[in-house]
Amino acid sequence: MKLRQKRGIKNKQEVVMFKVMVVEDEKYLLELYKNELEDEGYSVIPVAKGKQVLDSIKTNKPEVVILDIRLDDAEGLEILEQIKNYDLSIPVILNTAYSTYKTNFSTWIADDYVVKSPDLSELKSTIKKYVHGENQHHQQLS
Amino acid sequence: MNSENLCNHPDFKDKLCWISVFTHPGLDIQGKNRALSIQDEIAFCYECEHFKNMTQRGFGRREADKTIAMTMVKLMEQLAIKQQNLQQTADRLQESLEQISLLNNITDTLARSDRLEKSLRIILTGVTSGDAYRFNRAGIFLVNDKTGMLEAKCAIGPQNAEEAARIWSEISRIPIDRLLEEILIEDEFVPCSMEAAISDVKMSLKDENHPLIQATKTAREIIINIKSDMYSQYDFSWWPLADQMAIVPLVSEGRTMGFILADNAITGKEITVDSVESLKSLANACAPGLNNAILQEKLRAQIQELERMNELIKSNQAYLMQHERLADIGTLASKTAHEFRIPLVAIGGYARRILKTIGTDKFDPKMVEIIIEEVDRLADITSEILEYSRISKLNIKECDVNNIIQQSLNHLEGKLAASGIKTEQNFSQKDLIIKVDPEKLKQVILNVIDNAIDAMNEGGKLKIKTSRQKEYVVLEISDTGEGIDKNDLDNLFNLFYTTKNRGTGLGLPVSKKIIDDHGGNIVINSTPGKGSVFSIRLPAIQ
Repeated sequence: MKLRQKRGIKNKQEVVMFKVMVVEDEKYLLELYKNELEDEGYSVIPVAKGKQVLDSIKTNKPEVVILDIRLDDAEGLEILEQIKNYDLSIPVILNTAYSTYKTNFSTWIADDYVVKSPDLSELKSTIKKYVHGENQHHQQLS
Repeated sequence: MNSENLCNHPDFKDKLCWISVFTHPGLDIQGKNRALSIQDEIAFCYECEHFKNMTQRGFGRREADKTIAMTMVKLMEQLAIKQQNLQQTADRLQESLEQISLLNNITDTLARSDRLEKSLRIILTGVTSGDAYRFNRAGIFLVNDKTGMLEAKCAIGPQNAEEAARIWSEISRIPIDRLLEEILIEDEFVPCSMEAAISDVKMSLKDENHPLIQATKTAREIIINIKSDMYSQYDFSWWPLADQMAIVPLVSEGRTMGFILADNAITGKEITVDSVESLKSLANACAPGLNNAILQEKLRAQIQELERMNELIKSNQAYLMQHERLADIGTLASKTAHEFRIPLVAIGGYARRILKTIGTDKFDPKMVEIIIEEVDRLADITSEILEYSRISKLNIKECDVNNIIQQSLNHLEGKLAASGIKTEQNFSQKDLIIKVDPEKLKQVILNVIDNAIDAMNEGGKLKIKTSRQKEYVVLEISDTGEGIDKNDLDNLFNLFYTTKNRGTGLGLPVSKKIIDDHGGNIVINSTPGKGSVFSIRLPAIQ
């Protein structure tokens, strides 16, 4: 939690561009997210392969991670676990095509869920919750 | 009886005068022509008128005459006894002959019986009808191995005197051989009242003290006097009117199948040891035939059960196939919805972005291209789903596998060359004719080679081998590509599973379905980093 607060203060004081990591294996979606989120003023770190996520987090230190998972693919959930093991305070927003994600308890560790949609406004507003530290006491068990 | 033949002396009242007996041997004593019981019925009176008459004629004047007369009477007595014995023997012989004749008749009829119900009736008719065994009523109990019970199976005979009078007058006119023949041709039997009365009677073989169970287990015939102390504790009310019953086991191949129960409750005639012995002979003669009938009945029941199961399997199979297909379609629908979502999100997302950026420097015409590409991808998925889900009719022909492979290779020639892939063909030249839909098989081969090309994105070697292995024709398509890891290998035939960035995940499931429909199979072996081998086996023409 300390790390999270520290970054929040830093953002306010130094007005550094907020870094959003997008993990997505569909290249066109990754490109769309990148363009749309950059339009919103974020610094976007696009990651196409799951195996690169942890290294990229260590290097780029994103404030929020948008993580695409397939529920029948263990890899996405493993990455979620790796991120949380590395730093529990990094907010992870799951972005999935399945609306049944909540029935899989492995996803409960994530901070938020957004079902993939052509309309990115829900994703954008969810990211916003984490930008200004509004949601830093997000209850993980809710 | 003629009164003039009686002795007049008061000491011998109602007895025959011995002189008249002497002069009329075989005299009818009590209106019945039976042998005389000399001591009881004849008066040896020497003072009667007849004697005097005779002595007046000179006979019997001396003591010696009396002795002669006595001797003659004794001789007469012995003669009468011999005659009586002879008559009894003749009667028994006659009875035995009748029994043997009936027994032959019964066993012959039994051999022609095709149902247990008929066999039981044939035996019981023999026991109760005609002059041979002459029991009033009879029933058969059989052991049921499955339930461990002794069960009443069939009975013949009247329940009371009125019924007896009616039935016996009806059948007395019909010869026994005709009665037996009628049973053979009958299809349906209406149970008589006796049979209806015992239809539910059964007793556990574990009840070893019960006289009927004992008789069955020890295979010994018995006469049960129901009112005697020995049997009074057992309930025989299910066999009405009886005071006495004969139980004779039915034994075949050392195993007691059950017993025949018989009685004379209507006429009240005593059941003798002799009559039980004859019944035993009948039981022994009929037991093998009855055993056959029981086995046939079991076999028939098993055949019926098998036929029923077969029908059930047939109907279930159709149901299961339909059900499996529906389940398959259900999975397909849910997976399709998901697979459509990704391109739709991209199309919708880019369409919105175009709308937002059009006329600004952020507008990129590439976005339109992406939309077109994603729409094409949706079209591809749609056509493959249609291919997978429609009930495909195979257009089967006799084809040489080598020709089909060659046509497929010709089709991909350009693509292979462009990818820097060399091909090596090792075709067997004999016995490679199969019955196949050539277009479908070509589709499978193209799909597998397409996958191989994708796996060898930096060039490599594609080997194609055909061979005959017993009753199968085998095609092996191997590449020197990147290989497939274990997890992917296990999922390759699952709908929409793909390792390619832009794959539909339908190519291999469709291929597998086509090969399955041909009665063949498709197997993939792969070593990551070295390459993969697809083996397709199809039934050869024998």
